[in-house]
Amino acid sequence: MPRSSYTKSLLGPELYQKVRKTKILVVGAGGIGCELLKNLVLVGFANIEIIDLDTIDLSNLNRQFLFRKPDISKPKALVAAATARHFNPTSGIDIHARHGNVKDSVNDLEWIKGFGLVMNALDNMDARRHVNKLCQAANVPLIESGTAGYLGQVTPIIKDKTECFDCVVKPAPKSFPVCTIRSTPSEPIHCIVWGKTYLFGKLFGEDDEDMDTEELDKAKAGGENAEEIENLKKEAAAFREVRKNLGGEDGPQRVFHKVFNEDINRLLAMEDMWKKEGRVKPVPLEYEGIMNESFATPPLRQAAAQQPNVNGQAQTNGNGTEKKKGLKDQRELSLKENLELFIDSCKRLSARAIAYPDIPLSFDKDDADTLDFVLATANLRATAYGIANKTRFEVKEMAGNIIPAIATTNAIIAGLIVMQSLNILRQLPSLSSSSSSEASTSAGPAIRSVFLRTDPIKPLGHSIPAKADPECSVCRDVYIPLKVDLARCTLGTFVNDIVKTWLAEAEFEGREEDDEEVVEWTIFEGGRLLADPDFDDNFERTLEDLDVKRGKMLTARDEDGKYRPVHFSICEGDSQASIPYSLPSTPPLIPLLPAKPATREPSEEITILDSMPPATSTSVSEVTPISSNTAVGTKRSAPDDGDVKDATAEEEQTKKKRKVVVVDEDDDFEIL
Amino acid sequence: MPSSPPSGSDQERRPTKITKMDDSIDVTHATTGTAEIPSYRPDAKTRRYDRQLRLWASAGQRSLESARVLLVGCDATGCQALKNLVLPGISHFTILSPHLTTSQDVATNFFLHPDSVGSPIAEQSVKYLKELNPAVDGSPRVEELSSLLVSEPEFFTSFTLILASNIEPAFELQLADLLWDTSASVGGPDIPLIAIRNSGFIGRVEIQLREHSVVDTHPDTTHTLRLDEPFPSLEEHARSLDLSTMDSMEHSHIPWVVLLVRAASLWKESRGGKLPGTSEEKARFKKSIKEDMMKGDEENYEEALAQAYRVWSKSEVPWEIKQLLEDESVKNISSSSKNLQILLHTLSLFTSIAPHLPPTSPSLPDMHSSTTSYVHLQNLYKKEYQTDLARFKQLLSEVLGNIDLEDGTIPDEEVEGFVKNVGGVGIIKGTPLRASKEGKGLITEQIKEYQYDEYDGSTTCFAMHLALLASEQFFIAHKRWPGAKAQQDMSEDNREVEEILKGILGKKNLEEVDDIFVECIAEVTRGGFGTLPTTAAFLGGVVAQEAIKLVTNQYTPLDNTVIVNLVKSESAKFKF
Repeated sequence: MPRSSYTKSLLGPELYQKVRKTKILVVGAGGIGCELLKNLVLVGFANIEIIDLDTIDLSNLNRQFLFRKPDISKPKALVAAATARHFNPTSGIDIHARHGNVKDSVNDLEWIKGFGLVMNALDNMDARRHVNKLCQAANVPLIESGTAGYLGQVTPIIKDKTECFDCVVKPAPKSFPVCTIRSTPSEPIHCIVWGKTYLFGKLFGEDDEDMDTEELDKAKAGGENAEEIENLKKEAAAFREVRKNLGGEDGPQRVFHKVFNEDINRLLAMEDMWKKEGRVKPVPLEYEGIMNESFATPPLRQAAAQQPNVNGQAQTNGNGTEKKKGLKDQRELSLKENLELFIDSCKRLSARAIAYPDIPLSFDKDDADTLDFVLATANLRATAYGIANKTRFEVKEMAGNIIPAIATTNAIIAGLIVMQSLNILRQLPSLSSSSSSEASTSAGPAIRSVFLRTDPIKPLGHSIPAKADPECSVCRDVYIPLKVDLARCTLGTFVNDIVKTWLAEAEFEGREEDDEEVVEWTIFEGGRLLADPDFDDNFERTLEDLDVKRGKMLTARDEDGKYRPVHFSICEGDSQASIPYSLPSTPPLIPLLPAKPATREPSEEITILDSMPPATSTSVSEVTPISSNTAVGTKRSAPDDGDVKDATAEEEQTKKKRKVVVVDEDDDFEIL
Repeated sequence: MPSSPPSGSDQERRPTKITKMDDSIDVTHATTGTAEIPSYRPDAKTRRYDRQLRLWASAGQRSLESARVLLVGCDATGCQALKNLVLPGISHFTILSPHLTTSQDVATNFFLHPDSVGSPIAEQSVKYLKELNPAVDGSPRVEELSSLLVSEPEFFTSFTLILASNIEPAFELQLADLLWDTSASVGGPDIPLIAIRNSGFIGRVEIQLREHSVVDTHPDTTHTLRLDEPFPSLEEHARSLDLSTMDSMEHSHIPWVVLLVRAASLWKESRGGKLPGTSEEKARFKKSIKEDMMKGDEENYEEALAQAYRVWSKSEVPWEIKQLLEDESVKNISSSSKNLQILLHTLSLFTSIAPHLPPTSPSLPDMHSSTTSYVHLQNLYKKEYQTDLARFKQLLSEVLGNIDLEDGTIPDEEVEGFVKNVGGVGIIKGTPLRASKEGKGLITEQIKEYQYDEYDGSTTCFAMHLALLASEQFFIAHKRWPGAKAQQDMSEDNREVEEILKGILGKKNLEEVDDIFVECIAEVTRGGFGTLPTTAAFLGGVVAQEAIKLVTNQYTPLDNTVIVNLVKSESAKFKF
C-alpha cells in the first residue's frame, strides 16, 4: 500500500493535492515545532521550510522529541529536520531547515510570499508580531499558536477575514521604576531584575554608557529624585573601573565590596531617601565577616518576610512543603553559600568573557553560570535590604520567565494546527492551474480558533475568529513590496518618483472623481523621520547610505492623518536594471483612517527593565479564566456566523476581555 | 503532595507511599559540604524535567517515575500517547502486539522506520520510543491479547495503567472485565484502563477506573477565610482597629479580609448573632462598608465590597468532600485502607467537634494592603492552621491506633498537605466499561433523553459515540470494520450499522433513524477505522494527559468518556 493512500482517500484528491504542493513555513522548532513537523510530514506535506535561531538545551528534551542528548547545543531547526527525514527517507518530502532569525533581512516580503501557509510555533511576542506583520503585508494565511502548561490555543489569521495578532492589545510586560530597582528594592523580584538586567550587564554585557545615561535622564525628567539619579550615574562610572580588573585574582571580591558595601554606603548617605514611609535602610555586607560567619545577617524587614507567594506553579499546584523537602535546587542557601557562589560564578563568567572578548555575555536561564550569578547577587542584595531570599528553582522561574511546558499539550495543539491548516487549504483557491473553476467553493469545516483548557468537562473550546479591528495599525495599513537597488536609489527618487508620482495614482477612499486633493507625505523608516514636505535634506543620499535595509519598511504617512499609512517593504532589487526599483503594476487602494486616531500602534520602545515572569500570581489570574467553567471559547458572535445562538452581548464582552494569548516557554526578551 | 499508590504485592501489609527511586531526587543534603566550590545546580535529570516539575512538582514526578504502563495494540495513536509518557519519564512501558509491521503502519506511525516492515511492530516501536528518554525502560511482548488474557492474567495486573489503542472490541471488554474484577477485592490494585477508538477525524477516549483518589485537584482557591465564623484571634484583631484615628495611608491599606471580618462581627453583634440573609440586608451590609470609606477610591474598600458575598457563604466542608465522608470506605476503615481514606475519616471526626469546621488553611489570597498588615494577618491564619494541624494529628494518631497502625504510618508531609488543602482532594468512583458499551447503566437515560441540537456540538458527539458503538457491534459480528472492505460496499455496511444503532436506541422497529445518525455513521465508516496522523497526535496528547493525571493523583481525570470530532474541532465529555 502506498505510504499515504489512507490520508489521501480521507482528505479527497483535491485537498490532498494542495497538501502535497503547498509550500509551508514553520517558524520555530521547539515544543510545538517538533510536533508540528512530525504531523506535517505524516499527513503528506512535501514542501516545508523550518527556521529557528535556537540551539538545543537539556531542558528541551522532556517534550521536544526530535532531539536526543547528543544533539545538545546543535541548531534546533537542522536537527529537527534531520530526525524527521530519517524516519521518512523515501517519501519525496523536502524539508528546508534554516538556523537563523526570522527577523533577518533576507526574510523579506518576497520570501514570505513564496509560502502558501505560515505556521508560528514561537515562544516570544516580538517574533510573533514580526511574522504577523509579514503575513499581513504579503497576504499569506498564518496559523498562530501557543501553549502554557495545560493550556493552549490555535488561531488562524487571514488578512481581511480575521483579526490579526495585533488587533488584540497584549498585556504590557511589567516594568519597575528605575530607582526601585537600583536603590530601593522591597521585593525579591526587584533584586532579581537588578541582578539579571543591571549588574550582569554592567559586569559582563555590552557596556553601553550612552543608553545608561539616557535611561537615567529619562527617569529624572519623569520626576525621580535628582540627587539619587546623580548618584546612580557616579555608580555606573565606577563600574567601568571594577570591570577592568574583573579577571584578577581578587576581582570578584572587589566587585562584591563595591556593589554590596560601597554603593550601599553611598545610598545610606542620602538621608532624605530613607525618610519616605515604608523604606527600610539597607545594611552594607562585609566580605570577611560573612566568610568567617561573624557577620550578623540583617533582620528581615517585616515587609518582605512573607510576601504573598510570587512563585506560581509548583507551589500552588504542588504543595507548600516543597520548599523544605524538594529538589536540591529548592533549598535556600545560607549567606555564606550565596557569597561563595557569587565569587565562583563571577570567576566562571569572567573567564568566559576573557576567552571570548568579542561575545558579550547575556543572561540565559538555562546557562548555569549566568543563573548562578543572578541567584547569588539577587540573594545577597535581598539580604542587605532585609528581603526574603529565593531558591534557585524560584529565581530561575522569576528571572527566566519560565512557562511550564509539557509534551501532551504541545501534541494536542500541533494536531489542532494541522487540522486548521487543512481547513484553510480547503478554502484556498485551487493550486492546479487547469481547474480554474474554483472548486474550492465547496464549503468545508469552518476555520476556527481553538482553545485547550484544563476543564475536564469540555477540554476544547472554539470560536469563529473575530473580524479585524478597524483601528488596527498593523493589518489595516497598506503594504507594497518595493524591489529596490538600495545603492542606487536615492531618497529623492523614492519621494518624487514613487510616493509623489506612483502613489498619487492610487485610489483614495472617499475621494470624488474630480477632487484635486494633493496628499502631502511624511516618510519614516521605523521610528526615524527621513523626509517631510519641508525637510528634504536627505534627498541626495541613497537609501543604503541612510541605512535602509532589505526587510525594513519605508512608511509614507499623509500629513493630515486622513489616510492609512502606506508601508513600502524593501525587497532585493535588480542591480542591472535601468530603473533602480520596481513596483506592482497597479497602485493600491488607500483607505481612510477611522475618525478616531489610532492609538494602538505597537510601541517600538524598549521597556526599561524587565517583564515579570508570566507564572506569577498576577498573570496566573489572567490566564485562569480559560480553564474555569465559563463562557470562554464558546461561540463568539460574529455577523457571518450561522450559529451565534448562545452568544449574548455580555458574553461577547467577557470573551474579549478574557481572550488570552498563551505563549510558549521562554517569553522574555529573547528574539527569534 | 504524594499519592498513595495501590499496594503492589501481597506481602505488603498496606499500601505504601512511594517506591524507592534509583536516582533519588529528594536527597537535599547530599551536595553540601562535599564539593569545595558549592554548586547548587540540580542534577541532569531535574534539568531535563524542569518545565514539567513546575506543573506537578516533585511529588507528581516521583509518582510518574514509578509508573509502569502497558500499551495494548501498537498503532499510531497508542505510540503517540506513549511518546508523551516516555518524554516526561515514566518508569517502564511494554507494548503488546502480535503483528508484523506493514508499510501502512509506517505511513501513519512516526515511531517506525521503512526498514521496520516485516518485523514485529511491538519490537520496532519500543526501539524507537526508547530513544526518546534513556531513563525509561521499555519492552515488547509479541503475543495475542486474547490468549494472554487466558494464559497469564497476572501479566496485566502488574501494570500501573493500561492503554488499549484500537483493539478488537470483544477483547477490549475482556481486558476491562479483568481489571474491574481485580480491583474489586479490597486492597487489590486499582488499574485504570484507557481505551482509545478512532476513525478518520473522529476519536473517542474511554476510561475505566473503579476507584481513584485525587490528592490534589488543584482547585481555584484553597483559602478558608472564615469570614462568617472568624477564629477568636482574627475577630479580636479586626475589632481592635480604630479606624477613626488612622491616617489615610493606613486606612487605605487595611486588608479587605479584616474589613469584612470586622463589619460582619459588628453586624452580628447588633442583630443577635445573625449574618445578612435577605438581599435587602446584604445591600445594607455593603452600604455600611461604603460608609467607612474615607475617600472614594480606596482600593481595599473596593475589594471588600467585591468580596462581601463571602460573608454570607458559609464556611464548611465542601460539598464534594462531604459526599466522600459518607462513603463506606471512609466511614469504616481498616489497616488496609488507603492513606486518603484514613485522612478523610479523621477529617470527619475533626468536623464533628466544635466549631464543626474544616481545618484553616495557612494561605491567603493577594490583596491590597500594606505589607505589615498583610504579614500580620497571614500570621494569624498560620497560627490557626498550626493549632488545627496539631488537633488533626492528635485525632489521626488515635484513629491509627484504633486500626492497629503505628503513628507516623502516614508521613507528616502527606498529612500537612491534606490539612492545608482539604477542599482539593477527591475520590472518583467509576463504572465498568462493559456497562456503557452494552447500553446498560447511565447511558440508558441519556439515550432516552437524547435530542439533536445543531447548535450544541455535544449532541453530535453523542451521536458519534452511538455510531462507534454500533460499528463495534458490527465488528463483533463480522470480524471487520464497516467501510473497511471495498469502497463500493460502504452503503451496505452503513445500512447494517444503522440497523444495529436502532437496537441501541431501543427502537428496532423504527422505519428510519434520524439524519444525524446517518451522517455520523457515514463519517465514522468513511474513516474506515484507520488512523489519520493528526487525529493520532491529538488523541495521543489527550490520552497521555489523562494518564499523567491518573498516575500522579493530581487533577480530576476524565470519568469516563470523551468524544472528539476534529472535523469541527469539537469535543464533549460524558459519564456513561
